[in-house]
Amino acid sequence: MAEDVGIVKDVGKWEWSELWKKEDWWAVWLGFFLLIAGIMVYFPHTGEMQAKLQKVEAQYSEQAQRTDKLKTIAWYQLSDAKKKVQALKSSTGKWLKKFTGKPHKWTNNPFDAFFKSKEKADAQKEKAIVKYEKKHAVEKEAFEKAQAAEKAAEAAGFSDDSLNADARAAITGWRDAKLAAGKAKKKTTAKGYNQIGYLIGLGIFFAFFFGIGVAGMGQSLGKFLTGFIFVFLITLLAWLAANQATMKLYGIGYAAWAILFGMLISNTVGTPEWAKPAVQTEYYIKTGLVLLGAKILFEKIIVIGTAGIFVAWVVTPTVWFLTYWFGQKIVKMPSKRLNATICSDMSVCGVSAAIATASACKAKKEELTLAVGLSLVFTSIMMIVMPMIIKATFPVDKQLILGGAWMGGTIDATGAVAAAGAFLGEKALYVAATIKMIQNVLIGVIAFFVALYFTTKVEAAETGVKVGPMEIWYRFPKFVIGFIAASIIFSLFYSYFNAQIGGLGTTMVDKGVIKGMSDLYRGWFFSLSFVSIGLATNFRELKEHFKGGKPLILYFFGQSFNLCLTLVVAYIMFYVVFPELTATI
Amino acid sequence: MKIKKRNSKLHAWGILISAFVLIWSFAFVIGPWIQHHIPIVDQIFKIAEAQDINTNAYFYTEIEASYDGAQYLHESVKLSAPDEAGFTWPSILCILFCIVILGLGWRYLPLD
Repeated sequence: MAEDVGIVKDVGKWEWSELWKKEDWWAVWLGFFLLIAGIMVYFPHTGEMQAKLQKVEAQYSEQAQRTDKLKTIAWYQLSDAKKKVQALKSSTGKWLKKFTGKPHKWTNNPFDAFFKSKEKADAQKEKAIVKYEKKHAVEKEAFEKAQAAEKAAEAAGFSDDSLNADARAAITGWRDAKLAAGKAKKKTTAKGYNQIGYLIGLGIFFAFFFGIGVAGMGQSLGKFLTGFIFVFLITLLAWLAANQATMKLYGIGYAAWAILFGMLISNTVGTPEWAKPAVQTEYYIKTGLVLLGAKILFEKIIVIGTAGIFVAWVVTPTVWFLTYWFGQKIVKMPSKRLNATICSDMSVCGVSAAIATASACKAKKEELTLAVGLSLVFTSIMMIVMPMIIKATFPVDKQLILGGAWMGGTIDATGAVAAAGAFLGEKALYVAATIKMIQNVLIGVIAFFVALYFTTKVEAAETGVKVGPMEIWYRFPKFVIGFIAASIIFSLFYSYFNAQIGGLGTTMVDKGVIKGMSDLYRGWFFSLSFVSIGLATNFRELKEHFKGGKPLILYFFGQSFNLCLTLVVAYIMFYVVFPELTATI
Repeated sequence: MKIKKRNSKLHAWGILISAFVLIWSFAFVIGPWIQHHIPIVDQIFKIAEAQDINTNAYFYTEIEASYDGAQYLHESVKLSAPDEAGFTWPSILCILFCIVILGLGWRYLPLD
């Protein structure tokens, strides 16, 4: 019986009242409420966005496709112009971003996270303008060089390899300078802000948003609202710590702080009794997961051709299964759920995959905490060590693509992947971030598999009852259905828009509903859940799960195997099977 | 009894405050010290800062580089190797292969 504490279990029979009495279903309703709101805000702008993309195509397309021997200046200009067309730039989108804004980045004074005066912003802007002007001058010079080199290559009909190579190098130089200038330009737009009012408004909105479900499930709304104040304040504290300049650079994100602060409070002065009704881990997590589902867009997996899919979609499940087997048979992990959560965490994409898997297999809070903790520690180490190894040992011509693919397939968190990739160069950054993105799509598949495996096999073995199709339905974690449905619906939207004009899918879905609605809320929901996990976690119980260092051994074995297999497969795919594809990157 | 209870409360608050002091010292003393004494850490952080990369992002939609990278790679493949772009037979085979691996896992993963 004690084993069941902290696990959400579905009753083994179906009742229609589940639709409003179970948090799984409330997660689906609330998640879809936000997604539909996003559709209503952004999709009416489809015609306008389409017209903008058509205008861009008309302006650059012909020039961009003059040759397939190299990517011309116009090719990049087309790409840049398309990037700027974003549905979320509508006035409602801008307001939503402000309303859901997290505490800002700060260095020494925590108050800067909430408030910045116009004078301070202007002073920062002035400094940034000086830096930008210098970088802009470099960019201008690089652009002129690129233009000259491209003209020379074009004069030879793009058939002189040496001139093409010169043009390619000059254009790459211009791109690097442009990237640096672009980032510097962003800082010249610094504005003053006062986030305090918005944060109070957001807290009230969240309290009632989740409160409706709490009331629907038959719990006291008043008690929930009172407790929510405490949970939301700790969540704010977690975001404040995550956005401190040093912490941000080290990649110590909100998940780590939320768990840590929650645990520190619960294990020292104790979680106040009045706050406990709002400590609703699964409720927040599952709502966030339904929103996460909308981001899992299947068309994304083909952006880098077969090589990318193979590295992400064949290596990842192979590593998952071997590590799980190793955990059960060799390490003798005491909990299959902890084993599965660590496997996803390590082989798919860290925190997000750990959350999805833990919820799908009904893992305990402590098990998720442990898996997330392992991922965060190893991510910080790998983010620094891997680029060092690549620089020191890889042949120069393979550092960017092979190195990028290796890091993208193995480092858990996307931010760390990007930072490590950027250290090697822009191409490595793009390859690494894209491989990670393809791997992210696998979350849905793995979560579905884990839910099915634990429902049909593990739970059946634990209870000794053979499960039929109806029993599978009774026991199946229903929020997974919302997660998968959101993924399928938004994948269809994405493909539908892209079929109208290239790039419209990104404009309307990625840079519309996802970034302009789902992402804005999901981060908050996950941080609320991590605070709840911390507030309900006991150090002693956590220590029990870590007994004998088994989770660490499992993670270490799995990640070592992942590193070896990903490197070998990436080499074979990018340099042996598809060298022509690699040459186009 | 009352004194014992008060002491244990003080002890708990003491631990909590010490933990926050430790976190503060990482942010303002230890973290910057490591950054300035290990060149590669400093280099990676400087690049991440210059390129405005959110190092603590967990998911691909949280960083601009994922969108830029995907678009760059997709357009590159479309321009120079159009036969490799989109859902090709080998790519579909990869997806099927993944499903087969999952099926095998479902069938043969150890239950003990």
